[in-house]
Amino acid sequence: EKADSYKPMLIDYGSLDIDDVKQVTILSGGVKLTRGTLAMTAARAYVKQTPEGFKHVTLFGDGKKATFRQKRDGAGDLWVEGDAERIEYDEQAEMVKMFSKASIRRIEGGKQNDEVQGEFISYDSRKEFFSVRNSASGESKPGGGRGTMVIQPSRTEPPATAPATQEKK
Amino acid sequence: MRNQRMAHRFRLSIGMILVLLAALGSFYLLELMNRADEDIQADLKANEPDYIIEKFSFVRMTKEGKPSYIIAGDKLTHRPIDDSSEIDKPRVRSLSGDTPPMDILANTARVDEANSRVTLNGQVKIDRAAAPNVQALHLATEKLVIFPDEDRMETDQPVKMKLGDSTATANSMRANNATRQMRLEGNGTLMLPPRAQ
Repeated sequence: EKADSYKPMLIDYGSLDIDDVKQVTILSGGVKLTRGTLAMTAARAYVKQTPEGFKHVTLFGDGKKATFRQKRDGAGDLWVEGDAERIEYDEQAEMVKMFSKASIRRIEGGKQNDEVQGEFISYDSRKEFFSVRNSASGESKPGGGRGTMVIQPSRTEPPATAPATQEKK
Repeated sequence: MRNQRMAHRFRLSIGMILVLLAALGSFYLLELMNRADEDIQADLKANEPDYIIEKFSFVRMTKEGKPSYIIAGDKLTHRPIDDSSEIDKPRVRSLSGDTPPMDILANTARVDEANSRVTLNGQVKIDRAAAPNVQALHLATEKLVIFPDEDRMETDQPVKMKLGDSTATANSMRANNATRQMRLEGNGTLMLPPRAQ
């Protein structure tokens, strides 16, 4: 949601290590990041400060999956959810980059209407646009893995008694 | 003849009495001396301070002779029994490495373990100014233990910290000033404000 960009980022942690020299903050022991409607969970997180002063957060699933969930603008209860072994969140571009075994789902009114899986998925939470690549490095290489996209039918099948009429749109 | 024997016996007894008095006197003096020692021992046991300094300031030097810690305060009371000192309104300034000095204030402090441990109690506040590639640091807790020789500090009390523009809370903290690494433990929250666009 657009309003998220003006919200502070809150990260709950088990323990926190600050290396003032390298200006890196390491949070471990189960991490939950929230920023407005954006919520991410992971086992461990690195927070670095970019030269321009923006925060760059890397979340590691460490065996489990790091997850991400954010409300989408627009009418109705629109959400987007995703998980991957590693998620990077860049505060400046507000991009969520999910690496290796990533999946992203769009949810409407509590019902999932489509899901994409791939090695790398990047989601631009401002434009609500996501792209999938087939290698964990973020570029598509020939012979890399295959992504799959499942789009749920928007119309539910009428009960079997009535003959199924297929109109082409 | 009788008078001479009587006079002789009389002189003899006077001499005897004088010697007796001298002996008793020395016993009395010995007793006095011992009691004095006991008094000092008693003082020690009663934990009486042996010196009190008002408006003091100690400077601890590194081996190279550079000042590393300045410990000042309104009143310092030293107690010989365990060679410890109690400080009212301590002000500690730590000058380590290339970072700006770190100023630490508290209500009271205790220096013990042969001056290798300084325990600050009551509204402990740490402040370090910002500098190029060094973020400003503010930290508040109820107790802080500083080990000047190892240039590190720790607390097992809840801590509120502000580093640059981010704030963090935790239940305990260990910091190594030399390597400028800090560890906060115990389910805290790190708050990173949005960068002013």
